[in-house]
Amino acid sequence: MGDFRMPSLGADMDEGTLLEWLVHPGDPVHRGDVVAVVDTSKAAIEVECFEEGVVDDLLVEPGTRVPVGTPLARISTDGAVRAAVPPSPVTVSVPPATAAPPTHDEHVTASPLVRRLAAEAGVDVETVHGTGHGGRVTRADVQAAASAAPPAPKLRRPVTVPPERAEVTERRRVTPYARRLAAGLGVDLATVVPLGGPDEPVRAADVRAAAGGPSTPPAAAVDAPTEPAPAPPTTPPPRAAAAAGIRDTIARLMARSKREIPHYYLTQTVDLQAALTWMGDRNRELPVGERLLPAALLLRATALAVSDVPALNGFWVDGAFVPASGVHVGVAVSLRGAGWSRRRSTTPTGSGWSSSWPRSRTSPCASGPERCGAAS
Amino acid sequence: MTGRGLLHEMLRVRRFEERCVELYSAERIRGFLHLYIGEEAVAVGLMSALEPTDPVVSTYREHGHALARGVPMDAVMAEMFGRVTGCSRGRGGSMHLFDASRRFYGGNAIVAGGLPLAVGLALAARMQGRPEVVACFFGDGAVAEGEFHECLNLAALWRLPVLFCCENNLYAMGTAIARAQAETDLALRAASYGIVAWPVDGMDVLAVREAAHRAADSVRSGGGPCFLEMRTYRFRAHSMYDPERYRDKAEVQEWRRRDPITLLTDRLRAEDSLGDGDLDDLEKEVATEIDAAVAAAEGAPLEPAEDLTRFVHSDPVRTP
Amino acid sequence: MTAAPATAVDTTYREAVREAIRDAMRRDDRVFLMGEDVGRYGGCFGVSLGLLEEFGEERIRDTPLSESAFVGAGIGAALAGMRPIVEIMTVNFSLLALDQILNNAATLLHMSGGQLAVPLVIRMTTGAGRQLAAQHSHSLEGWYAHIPGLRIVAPATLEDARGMLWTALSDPDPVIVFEHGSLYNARGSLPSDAGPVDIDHAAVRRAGQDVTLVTYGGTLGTTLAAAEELAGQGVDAEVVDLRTLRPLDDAAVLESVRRTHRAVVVDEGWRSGSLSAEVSARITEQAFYDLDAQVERVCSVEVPMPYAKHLEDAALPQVTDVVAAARRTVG
Repeated sequence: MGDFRMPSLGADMDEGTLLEWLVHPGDPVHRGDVVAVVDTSKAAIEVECFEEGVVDDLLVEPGTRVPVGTPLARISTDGAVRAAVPPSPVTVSVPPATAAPPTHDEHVTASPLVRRLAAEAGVDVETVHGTGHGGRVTRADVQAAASAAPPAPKLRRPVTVPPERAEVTERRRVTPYARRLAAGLGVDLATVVPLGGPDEPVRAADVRAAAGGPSTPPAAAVDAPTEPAPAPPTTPPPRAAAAAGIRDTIARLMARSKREIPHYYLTQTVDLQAALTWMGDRNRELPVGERLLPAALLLRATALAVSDVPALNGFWVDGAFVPASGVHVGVAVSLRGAGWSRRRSTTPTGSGWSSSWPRSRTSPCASGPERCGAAS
Repeated sequence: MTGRGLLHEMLRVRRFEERCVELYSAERIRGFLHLYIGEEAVAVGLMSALEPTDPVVSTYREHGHALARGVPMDAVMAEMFGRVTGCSRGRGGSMHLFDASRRFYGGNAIVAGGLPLAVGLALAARMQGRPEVVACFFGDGAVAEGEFHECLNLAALWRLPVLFCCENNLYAMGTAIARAQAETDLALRAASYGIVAWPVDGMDVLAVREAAHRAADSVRSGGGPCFLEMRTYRFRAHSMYDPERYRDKAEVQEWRRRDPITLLTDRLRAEDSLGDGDLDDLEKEVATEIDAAVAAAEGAPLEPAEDLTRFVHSDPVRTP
Repeated sequence: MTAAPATAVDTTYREAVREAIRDAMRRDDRVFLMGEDVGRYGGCFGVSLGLLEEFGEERIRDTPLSESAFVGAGIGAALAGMRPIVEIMTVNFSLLALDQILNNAATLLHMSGGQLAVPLVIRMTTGAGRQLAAQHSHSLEGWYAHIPGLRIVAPATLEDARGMLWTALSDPDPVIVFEHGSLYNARGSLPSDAGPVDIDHAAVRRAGQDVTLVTYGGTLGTTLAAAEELAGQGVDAEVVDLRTLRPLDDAAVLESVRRTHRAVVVDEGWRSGSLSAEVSARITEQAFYDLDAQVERVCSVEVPMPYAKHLEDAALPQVTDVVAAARRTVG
C-alpha cells in the first residue's frame, strides 16, 4: 500500500488545492502517470504518482486545500514496492549564539537614548544588567528594570509611545565620547556648558573643562608612522590596397566577352516560392558550408532548360550551327578581398552543385542571398 | 563506448532524474530542479567522444552532463540533498554541480555565462600546449545573449579549441524559439563567425556520437572551434513549477515518439546486440545505483554552519 | 633583482604600473596581459607601451571589444593554471563584464565547495578629473567592494602602483586593481629595487592627532593638501590611505579614530550606498564611544559626471570641502 501525497512543486509551495482527479478508484496507475490536477496558487499543474498499483481510495475531494505531504489517495501495490518517502524535513542544527563578550569598561555603557529613557523611568542605568552587544544596556533592559521596580511616584511614559519620537528637541546633544568621559570623570552633564556656544553639542573638551582636568586626553599617545605623500597629479594623460590588377583583368575580359559573344535576353516571370521552400528545408539539415543559395537553383534551371532546347546551346562555326556536346554553365563569384572564383558544371543532371559550391569560409555568398549581387 | 554502454548511461540519467522528481515532490530536495529528460542522447553521445582531460562547461540543466562525464552519482545526489558529501559541498545544489578532478567546470545558471569560461579554458590549453578540446554546453536561449556572440567571435578569431554544443530544445524556458530569435537556424548564425557548424539529430545518440567525434577531431587537430546544433526536446516542464501553457501536449507526444532511449533500444534489438533480459538487467543495475546514492545522501552529514564563510577566499596560503 | 645598492629613480605612476607588469611577466611565464588595445596601441593610457615588442603577441593579447568574453576568458584561463592580467579601459566599461566578475570570478570558489579558485587580476581605470564626462569618469570601486570573493585594491602612490600587482597575482583569488586616471602622470621617485608591497593593510600617509581623514586612490592628493591647509589653521589631521577597499583594514582606521576621536571619510564615489558609507558605519559600529563628533563624509555630488571643467570641479571633492568637513568635527 502506498500513498499519493500532495507534492511540493516549488521551493515556496507549502500547500495546494486539489482541483481534479484524473483517476477513479479501481484504476490501475503506473509510476509517472498523471493522476490529478493541483492548483499551486500560481498555476494549475498536472501531477504524477510514483507508485505502481491500483487506486484504492481517494482521500481528498476536489476543491480541498491541504498542506504539502498530505495523503491524497491510497494506492494498493502488488509485491515488493519501494516504501514511499515520508516528508520528513531536513533538520539543520543551528549553533547557539555566542555569549556576549564581557564589557571592557569599568562603567556601564549605554547609548544617549537609553540613558534618557532610564532617567525618565527613574532607573539608575549603572545598576542595570546590560544584555546588548558588549554588555551594553539596551532599551529593553531599561524597560525591564523599570517594570521590575516598584511604581515610581512619577508617571512613567507608556511604553506604547515610541520614545524616540517623543520630545526629541528636549534632548541635550552630547557626543558618545563626551558621555563616556563624563561618566568616567564623575561629571554631571547637566552642569556642562558647551564652550562653542549653547547650540553646539557637548564634546569631550567641554566635559574636561567642567571636570577641571587637562584639555587633552592623557592616554592619547600619537605614534603613527609617517610616509612620504604621493606627488599630486599634475596634468591629464595624453590620448592617444588593393586588388586593382584583378579588377583590371575582370574588366577587360567582361568587355571582350560582350564584344565577341552574341548576347540575347529572354524574360520570363517564375514564382520561386516552392523552390525557395524546398531549398530552405534542405539547407536546415546541412552543414552551413554545404548549403545552397538561390542562385544555384537558377543556374540549375538554366542548365536543364538548355538541355531541353539544344538549339540554344552550341556554336556558330563556318557558317553553320554546331550543337554543343554538353552543357557548360559558368558562374564567377566575387570573393570579398580574396579575388574571385569560377565554378562550372558540365553535368546539369548530376548532383554536384552543392559540393562544388564555394565554402562559407571563403565566400561571402554563403552568408545570405542578398550578398550575391557580385556573382555573374 | 558500446551501444549497450550508451544505453546504460542514458538510463542512469533518466532514472536519476525521475527519482529526483519524486524526492522533490516529497520535499527532500529543494531549490530549482531543471530536468534533462528527453535530451539524454546529447550529453551521453558527446561525452563519449571526449578525452578524460578535456574540460567541460555546462549549464543549469546539467545533471545529465555531470553523470555522463563521470561525476559519481553519490556526489551528485548528495549535492541535491545539500550535504557536505555533495560534489559542491552543498553550496551549489542542482544548478551548480562541479568536479575539478574530472575537469567538470560546472553548472552555470546564467544563460550564456559559461561560454567565456570555455574560451578561457581553451586559451590556457593552447598557451600551455595541451591538445585539449573544451566542450561547452548551452541552450538555444543562450544564442540571444550578447556573451554568445562575443565568445563565438573570440574563439573563431583566435582559433581556439572549443566545441560549442548548442542544445536546441526549441524553448527558452517558456518562449518558443521563433518568438525569440529572428533567425532560428542556429548553425547558420554560428557560421557567420567563420565557425564550422552543422545540425545534428539530438535524439539519436549514435548520430550525436558520430558528429561529436568528427567535431572533436577537427578541433583537436587545430581546426579552430566547431559548433554543433543538437536538435533535441525536453519532455518535462522547464522546472518543477511549470504549467506548460506555452506548448501543446500533442507536440510533446510527437517528440516522445522519438525518445532517445527507445530509439537506441529498438536499434540494438534490431541488430541483436540487446537480448531480452539485457534491458531488465540494465534497469536493475541503475535502480541499485540510485537507491544507494539516495541512501548515502540521506545518511550524509551537513556542512557545519561554522564553515559557512569558508571558500569565499582560498584558505590563506600564498602561492606562488 | 640587482645586488647593486638601491638608488632613487625618477618615474611616473604610469611607468611604475608598466614596470610592475614587466616584472610579473619576467618572473612567471604563466602571466599574460589581455585587453582592448593593450598591444599595438600600447594601452589606452599608454601603460603597456613597449610590452608587445618585449613579450610578443601570445602574452600581450589585443582583444575585440568584448568585455564579457575576455574577462570571462581570463577567468577560464586562471582556472586552467594561467595567471592572467586583464585590463579593462575604464570602470564604466567593466559593467559589460559584471556578469563574469560577480557570477563567476567572485563566486566559483564558494559555489564549487572550494574546488575552483580563480587567480585572476583585473586592472581598470577609475575616476574623474579629466573632463571625460559621464561614461568614462565614475568611481564605482565601491560597488565591487560590496562583493564577497573579490579583493579590491586602489594604489594611490608610485610605490603601490609598482608593488601591488605582483602581490595581487600571488593571491589565489581574484583581485581588482583600480588605477585612478588622474594619477598616471603623477611624478615621483622610487628606489631602483622597488618591489612587491603588501595588500592587506591601510597606511597612515600623514600623522596627526586632531582628526582622522580616511581616503584612498585619487583623493589621497586632495586629502593631503587639505591636511596641510588644516595644519595652517591649527588642526593636526591624520591621513589614512585605505589602499585595500575589500577587505577593509578596520583595525587601522579604528586605531586612528580612537586616538583622534573624529573622522572624515573622503571618497570620490557618490555618497548614497557608498564605500564612504561603509567606512562611516564601521566607525560608528566599533568606535561609537570614542567619537567626539559626528562622522563626516566628503563625496562627489550625486550627478552623472559632467564635461565642463567648472561643473566637474563642482561635482568632485575639493580641498576646501575636506577642510570644511574636518572643521565641523573639531567644533
